[in-house]
Amino acid sequence: MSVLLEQQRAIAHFLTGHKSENVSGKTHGSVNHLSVLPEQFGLPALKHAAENRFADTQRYQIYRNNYLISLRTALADTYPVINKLVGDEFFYNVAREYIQYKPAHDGNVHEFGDEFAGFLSDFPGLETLAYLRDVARLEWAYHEVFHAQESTTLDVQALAAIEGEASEQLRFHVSGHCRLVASEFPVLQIWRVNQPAQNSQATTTIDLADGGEQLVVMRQGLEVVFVPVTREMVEFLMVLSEGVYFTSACERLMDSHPDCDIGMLLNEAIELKWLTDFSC
Amino acid sequence: MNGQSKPVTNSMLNIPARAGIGLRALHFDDVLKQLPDVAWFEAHSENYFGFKESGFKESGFKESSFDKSGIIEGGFNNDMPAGIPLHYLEKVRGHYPVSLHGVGLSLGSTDPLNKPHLKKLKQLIHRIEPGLVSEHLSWSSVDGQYFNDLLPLPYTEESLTHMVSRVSETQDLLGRQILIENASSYLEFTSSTIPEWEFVTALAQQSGCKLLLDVNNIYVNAMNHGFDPLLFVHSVPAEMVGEIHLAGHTVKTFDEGVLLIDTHDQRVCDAVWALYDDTVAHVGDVPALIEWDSHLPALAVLVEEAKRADAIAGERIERIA
Repeated sequence: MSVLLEQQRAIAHFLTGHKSENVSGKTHGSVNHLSVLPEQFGLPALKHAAENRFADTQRYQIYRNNYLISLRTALADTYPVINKLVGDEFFYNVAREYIQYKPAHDGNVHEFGDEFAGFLSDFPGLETLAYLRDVARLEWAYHEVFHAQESTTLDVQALAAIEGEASEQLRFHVSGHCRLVASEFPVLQIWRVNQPAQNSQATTTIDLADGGEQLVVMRQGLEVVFVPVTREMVEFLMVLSEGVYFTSACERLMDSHPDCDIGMLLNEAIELKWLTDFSC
Repeated sequence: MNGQSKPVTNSMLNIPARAGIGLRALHFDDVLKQLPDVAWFEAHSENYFGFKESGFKESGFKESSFDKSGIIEGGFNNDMPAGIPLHYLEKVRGHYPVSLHGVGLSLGSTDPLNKPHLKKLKQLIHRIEPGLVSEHLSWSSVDGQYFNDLLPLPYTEESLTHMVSRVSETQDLLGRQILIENASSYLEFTSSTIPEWEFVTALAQQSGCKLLLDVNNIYVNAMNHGFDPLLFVHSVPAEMVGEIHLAGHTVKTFDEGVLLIDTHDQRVCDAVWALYDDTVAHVGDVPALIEWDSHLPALAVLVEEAKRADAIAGERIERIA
């Protein structure tokens, strides 16, 4: 093993190696890393300038702080509503645990944080706040759509020209640039009242029993918008996204929703660019 | 400047030897509305990579086993995903030259070079036509795990050989010269055998890259490690320097002594302005960039800092002439 690789692994181990004793949420005080000797990690020895008396571990500790702060900041940038709902201190702790649970594996930090919603729902102390997971899903959907391109428009004329046997082979392509968030909680209300533009002095009461919401998160030009959809539309899009023939998708939908108007669903899905292409 | 009178053209390719500022999402609208009087913009490459189409799915859940790619072959655009940030960058590019500055390539890492990352960078370069492309003399990942930080390398023959091959490979794959920036650091390895200024010079000589001299990083390291920042500046051959970075740092006082932390969250300090003046005297007219990454001020503050850099360079060049 090259000296360089050995050194990088030792430093990486130091940066990440302190698994907190538990994830119980009970000991959320900061772990005292200064008590750990650098030799325990095989960290490379350091030169000492005459003017200071910093121990090696203290110098390495600066990098550990930077690492945790930078990923925590990235997480807070993607999940500002969660941060606001749980408060800075709690967010700090959840973020630190998450960084250990699902470290960054991409040089593009915007890819970091994709499993935060699921992690939150299992996090000690948050079990009873089930809506947090769905708010986090909404924030991740917003983040993904913000970095995705706008969906293209389906060629309606070509679609109308399909005849005969070809129509039985018809399949739609559902835009991969949109996201669906279905929740039993009023997640969009929660998201809206926690936007920075809202007056922070005002208290808005949201009744969690207000009912659920199904939303398609999508781009509209330079905006990310939320479009409330019916349960029929959710199922329509989900079935089509499996890539089945349109005819069998219709059959499945009519089985579960005998009264639904498939023509209307299709028109709306094309108009809003949720269906971007087709093949037959 | 009256921004409206400025012709909208994509022909301004080269970064002029004046001061530019970093482009941040918070300032997107202000930049396009005000078209401030700065010579160019630097964009952090990764902010514009975008997310690829990943199949329609419910947010927060794993994708179904269904593979959408077989359904409509070639039916959708496989090029660079143009997210909202890229749209703004293209607009800005219509008015200014742009430099792409990477923070996630992890050139100094012992992992294999991240080809998917490089591919995205190459697509972005193709789309934006930047005047300059730069990265760092540091590493940020090992065994596939990323730390989102610029971690220090020991300055050894092994590191030099490694960096030279990585920079060369990157330049080959991108088909263009890049600039490498000296990083700030809070420690020095005893294994280091080459002074930092000799290391960066050798890297440029052997790989054919240019240097992005961050004078704030030079100052931070000089204070943290006890060397003369002018020794660094004067040791680097002037013709190898293609760009200068300027930024603010934080002075932290501990019981054990003082440490300068490279925070990019405030104005450039007087000592760094003075070092910039000396650097311009040595390297001549090159583009300079005001870096500000957190606790972002109003756009006007960045423009003010850029004007100060222009004034210092202008006076210095005049004196030399």
